[in-house]
Amino acid sequence: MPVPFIDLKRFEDGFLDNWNDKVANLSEKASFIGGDDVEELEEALAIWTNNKFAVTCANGTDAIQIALRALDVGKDDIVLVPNMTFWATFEAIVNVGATPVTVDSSLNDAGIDFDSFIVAIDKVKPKAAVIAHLYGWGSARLDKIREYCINNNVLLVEDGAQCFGALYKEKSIYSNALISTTSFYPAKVLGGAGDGGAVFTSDSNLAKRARQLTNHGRTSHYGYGLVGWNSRLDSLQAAYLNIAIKHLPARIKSRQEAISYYRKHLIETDIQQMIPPSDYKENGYCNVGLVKDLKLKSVIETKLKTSEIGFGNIYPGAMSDQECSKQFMHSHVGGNEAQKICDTVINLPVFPYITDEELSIVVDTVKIACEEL
Amino acid sequence: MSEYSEPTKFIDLSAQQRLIRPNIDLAISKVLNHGQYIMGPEVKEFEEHLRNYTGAAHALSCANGTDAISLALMAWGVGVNDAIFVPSFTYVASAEAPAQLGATPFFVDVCEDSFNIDPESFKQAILDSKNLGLKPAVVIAVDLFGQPSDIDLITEIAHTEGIKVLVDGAQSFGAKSKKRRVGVMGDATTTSFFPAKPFGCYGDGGAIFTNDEASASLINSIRLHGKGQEKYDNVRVGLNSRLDTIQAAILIEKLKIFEHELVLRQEVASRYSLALENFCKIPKLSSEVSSSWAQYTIILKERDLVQLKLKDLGIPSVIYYPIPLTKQLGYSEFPIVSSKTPVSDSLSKSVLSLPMYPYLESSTQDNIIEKLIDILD
Repeated sequence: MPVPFIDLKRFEDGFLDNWNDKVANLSEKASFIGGDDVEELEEALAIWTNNKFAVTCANGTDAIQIALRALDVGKDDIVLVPNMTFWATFEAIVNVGATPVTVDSSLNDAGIDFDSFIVAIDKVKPKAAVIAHLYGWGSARLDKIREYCINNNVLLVEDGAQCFGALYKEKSIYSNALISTTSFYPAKVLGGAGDGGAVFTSDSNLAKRARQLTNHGRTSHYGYGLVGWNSRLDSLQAAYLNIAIKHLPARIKSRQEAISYYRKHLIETDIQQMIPPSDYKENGYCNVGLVKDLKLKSVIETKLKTSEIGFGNIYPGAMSDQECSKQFMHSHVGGNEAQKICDTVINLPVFPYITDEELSIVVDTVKIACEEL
Repeated sequence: MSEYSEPTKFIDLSAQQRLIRPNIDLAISKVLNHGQYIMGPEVKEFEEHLRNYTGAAHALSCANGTDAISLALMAWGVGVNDAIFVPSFTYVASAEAPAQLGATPFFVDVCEDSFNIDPESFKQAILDSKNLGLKPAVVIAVDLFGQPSDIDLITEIAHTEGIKVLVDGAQSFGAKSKKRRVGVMGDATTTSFFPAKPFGCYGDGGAIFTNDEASASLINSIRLHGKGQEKYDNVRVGLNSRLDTIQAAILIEKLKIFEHELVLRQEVASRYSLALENFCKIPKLSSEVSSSWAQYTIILKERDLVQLKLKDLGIPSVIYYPIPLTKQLGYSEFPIVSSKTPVSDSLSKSVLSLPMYPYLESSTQDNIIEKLIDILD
């Protein structure tokens, strides 16, 4: 039986009815930009993230650009970025005219490597840093990173595309961030029916700036005081997310259970499960297994493919190794632990309401592959 | 004397809704059923429809009309020190996109009759830009209010200087110039599917058209995070700029009635023109073009007063655009053609756009006309 890497069609009872009602409502009013659903969603997001303000936008990449620009980061500013992240994090920095410096990541939690981070700050004196909370949790030393940035005048943007719903020291991971972002790409834990994103902050000036930037830099009724972007969340998407967010606790629970299952049943194999640092309650975004034996990794992946079982490699390459990064980068700081994750990572299927049967098929297939070698 | 029971709207999308809602609901359901919300099958299908409709060799959908401009400029390698000629009398997005890329928007005046780029002003600006040490790179010829610009003349001037031509067709999708659809002129054309546009979706959306395969290929990569061959193979710095599958599905349905709506829009425009031509300056199309009539814009001496009086009589109207780009704070650092932009400045003080949508009932329109003539007389 095939098992997809992700299945977005397992709607809860009543979900589609709620959705159809919302579509009817928005259509009748022809309310497709802004409006009540966007407002309602932003209020819910602010509560979930424990921030005063949530500003929705077109997608997670734009959110990082908006956050950087709201902080006045731009042409020729140096910005640190972890070497282990999605390309969009690097892109966003380049797109605002700034210069990235890649910093090694930690093999333990896939977050930025703290020691390399402080070396980098001292060495290149960046205006800002973007860190990414990967896999549904964050760095073991998140508080220390935040504190260090404040004390050393480094503006910190937290790319929370993957960690919506995750808790750090029992509060939303986005609490206490200067400014953070997320993505509502459909495969994310809180995913929409198209592209979407948001910026979170408790600083009213940053929030105001961010909002202006999402709407062509509009600063007054007829006035465009900033060069901005067109970056909005459609009302339809907000409507979808307003329904989805109500089901989020159940979806997160289901995801967490899937991941626990994998950790329990794969413990005797040579797949080293990455687990979140103890201060975190993960949101179940994905299962992270590192297979150091590359031959075994290849055998497992082949077996999964032929058995029609989906899997991911999040992510297969470090930022500094992408084909064109050298022309944009200032430098790299630290070692290459990030590449070790890239070379060895396998992500098994995790999505809300994946069944026990599906989970056991995946585990059995992986175990068979391990034995074959 | 006409009676009307509902308040007059500037744009009313509900009549269109009644026509096509069932089809749209079905189209949206299909997307939820297959769950391919990003770059799903309807996106490809829609792009094929766009190619067939416009005659362009390549059509690439994206997140919105502003991004469409950014994508075209990025594909052309536009950057610092490039002068991008933009009319001062237009929506901010036309200048915003080049400014975001670090290029230099260079403001040019427009013609009073067409509201579009003045070729003489453009010629002067090319000289000015060289004197400033900039490289004249691209001209963004906006088809304001849906009327195509004098594109052949602009292209001739531009290409002689090695300048690329981008047709900003945000408002002119469906319009024609010398029997050619907007989408096949210039080096590339961009458009917007913002809901209030003549051809709009249920959210933000846009597209780029070009006959150049290399540009099309680049644009496809750039809109997908600079994608190379595989999902996580990123060979260049790009954007996230995609048209949602849901929006593509909606637009496929809307395209089916669009041609008819263009005819209806023309009828509304003709009705205004016939009634108002002795009372104010009305838009006059050149014989070689057809307009999509995104806006019906008149020129008035006492524009603000007239707008207020119309409002008191329950007639909405909108000023597009009250502040020319040369006077926008965010763009104050950018150069202006040495012959200045007096037409743009004057237009911003005297233009007024009247209610315009395909299903504007004649009784409602007659009422608008009557009230306006009353005020002007």
